[in-house]
Amino acid sequence: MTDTSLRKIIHIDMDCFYAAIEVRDNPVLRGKPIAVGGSPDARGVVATCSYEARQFGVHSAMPMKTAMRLCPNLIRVAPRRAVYQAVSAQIHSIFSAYTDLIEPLSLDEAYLDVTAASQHQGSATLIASEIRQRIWQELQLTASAGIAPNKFLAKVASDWHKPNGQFVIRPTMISKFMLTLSVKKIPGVGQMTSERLAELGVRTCADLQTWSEEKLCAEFGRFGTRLYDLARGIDHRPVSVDNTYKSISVEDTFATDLPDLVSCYAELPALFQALKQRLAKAQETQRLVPKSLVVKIRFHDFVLTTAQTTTSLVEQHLFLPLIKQAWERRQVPVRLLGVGVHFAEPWRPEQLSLDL
Amino acid sequence: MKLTQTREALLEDLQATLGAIEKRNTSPILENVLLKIAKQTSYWRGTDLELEIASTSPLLDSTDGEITLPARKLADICKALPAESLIAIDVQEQRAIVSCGRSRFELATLPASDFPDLDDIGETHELVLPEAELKTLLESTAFAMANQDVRYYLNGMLLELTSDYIRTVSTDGHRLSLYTYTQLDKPIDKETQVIIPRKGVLELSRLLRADSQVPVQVQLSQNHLRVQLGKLRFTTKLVDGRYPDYKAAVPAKGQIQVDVDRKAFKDMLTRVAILSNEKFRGVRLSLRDNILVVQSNNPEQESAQDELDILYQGEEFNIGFNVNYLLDAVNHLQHDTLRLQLNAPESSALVTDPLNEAIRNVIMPIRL
Repeated sequence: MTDTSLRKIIHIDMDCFYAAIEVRDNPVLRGKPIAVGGSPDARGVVATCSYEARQFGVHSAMPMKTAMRLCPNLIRVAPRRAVYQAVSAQIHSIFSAYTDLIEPLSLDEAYLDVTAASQHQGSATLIASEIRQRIWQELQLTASAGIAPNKFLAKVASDWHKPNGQFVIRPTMISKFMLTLSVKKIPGVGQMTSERLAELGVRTCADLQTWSEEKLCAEFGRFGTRLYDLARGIDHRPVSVDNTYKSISVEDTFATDLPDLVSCYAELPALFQALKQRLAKAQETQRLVPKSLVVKIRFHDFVLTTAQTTTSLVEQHLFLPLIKQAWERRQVPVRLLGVGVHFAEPWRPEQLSLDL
Repeated sequence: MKLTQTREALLEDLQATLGAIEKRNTSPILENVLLKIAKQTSYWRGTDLELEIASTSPLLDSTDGEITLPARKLADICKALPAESLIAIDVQEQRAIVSCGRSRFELATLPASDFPDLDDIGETHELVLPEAELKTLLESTAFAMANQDVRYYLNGMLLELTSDYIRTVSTDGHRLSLYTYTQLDKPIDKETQVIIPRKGVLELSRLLRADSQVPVQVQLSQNHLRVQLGKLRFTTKLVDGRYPDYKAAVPAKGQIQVDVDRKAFKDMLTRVAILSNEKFRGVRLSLRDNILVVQSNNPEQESAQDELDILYQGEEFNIGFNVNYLLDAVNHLQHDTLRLQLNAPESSALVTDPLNEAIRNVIMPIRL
């Protein structure tokens, strides 16, 4: 096993990325509650919002309509994805001055493994400050950083002094730090899991540490092992530079709900066309073997359902039965329809086990 | 208390006991070595509470007493002093003065009364076998032990005693190795199975000499294994658990049997391994008419292929393996020729020595 105890991982998280770019490019917006996202009339959702908007309870993934209601003075800005991508590429090039081990999580977040970096005598803390300083100087944007011996702790740390701050969790601090950390900070512990944990009297990682791995697995299945490790600040996942696609999908939220199955069918050709285009683009750089097709439907009451089938063919008519299957579960108007392809793992050999 | 001893004798004692002492321990006294002096004899002991190694040596000059000293620092000091020199250790109030010629070191100490003893090992039964044979028993299979597996009983080695043989078995769930020793002087009176923890196996085999036929006493009790090795005494707790029924996992033989030159096979695997997937380490073995082809490729679409002449007639047979498992097995066989026994692409394979039935390596394939 490779020694993972001495790694230096930085998690960089841009502060209100899209909103910050909009404010930078249009200073009139400074100090005002703004939200980047689709129009409320067209069922848009908030992609990012400024801190001023957050004070009103606006948050990302919230329907724009709700956001406007919470914050009547909210200024909505239409997203400019191409600009965000370009800025993200610039940030990435700053990272690459320090390490090749960069794992982007999205346009505005990435893990960096700087264990082997030579700058600042290898001090990850100083490297993180310099990266944030360069992002500010070159792009007039602020970022927060977490520095820790693994990805989990680095991510927790980047949130600690957000915005425009950084926090270090040294190896010697881990055991003490974990004691007071709320289980809600653990990635993968969402509302459901945290409620279940609260019922069991578990609120902090210290509470969680009193549980054996077996007990956690009995309660949470395979996630139990991960919880057991994370409660102790253990996370061996490497910073993975693997950028192979696992799936590609396109979806559309409609300005008016699709009332019935036939109107869902009618939207398929446009969606399929877009899917084909993205697939062709991805295939230029990678060999992707389709494994299954997926249809996603969000009904007007926000209930989400998916249907999928295993096939290596990507053909329009194959989505029809999936749409039918998904729609028939509720048979109410549809707000969002999506189609996608999942890919087979690129040749992954399987080590067989002895029958012991 | 004080002692005078040659550098070499001191180092021998210290290096033996260091095997039991962890570099960093939550309890500082476990980073120390216990030193007792009585009747012109030094008694050194190190432990991690699971494993204990003690060493006894006659001294040139001494005053009785007992203390614990920082083990690694003391060993490093002795190593750094000139060869063949005389080293004095003089303990005065809580400090130990180590001096040699014009060099002088002052070390912190901890009281001997705080140093932990292993539990009483209780009643034992005993077997005796030549030192080199014990080492072979351990080293022939130790490589296949699991490391930090949740099935804790696999993080160790099975030692099986029957009236006819002594056997060691190690497995990590993907491959298994066993070695059987039958040259018993007298039948073993008490059939038993114990699991020696991983660290104990590695440290004991480090202490044993491959060229020594000196009879070694192995004592087994309910919870401990103890080996008396001349001036050294090695003790380890045993793993409290039940070892899986390994016999069911060892095929009697293979329908396909191929003998290859061990060195040529090893070299070929080493070459092809370079371009195998870094994570899965998969290589494909293809048996064709009188030829063995080994291939690998990786996510970067690079590939390697190598061939070896063999005696084989029949349909093409393909099977995949983790190349590291093959190399481990190949490296722990002795003779020039090794035998590969295969049954089906998804069944276990045997890697054996046609001249030595004692060793059996079982390897599960990779599904390609």
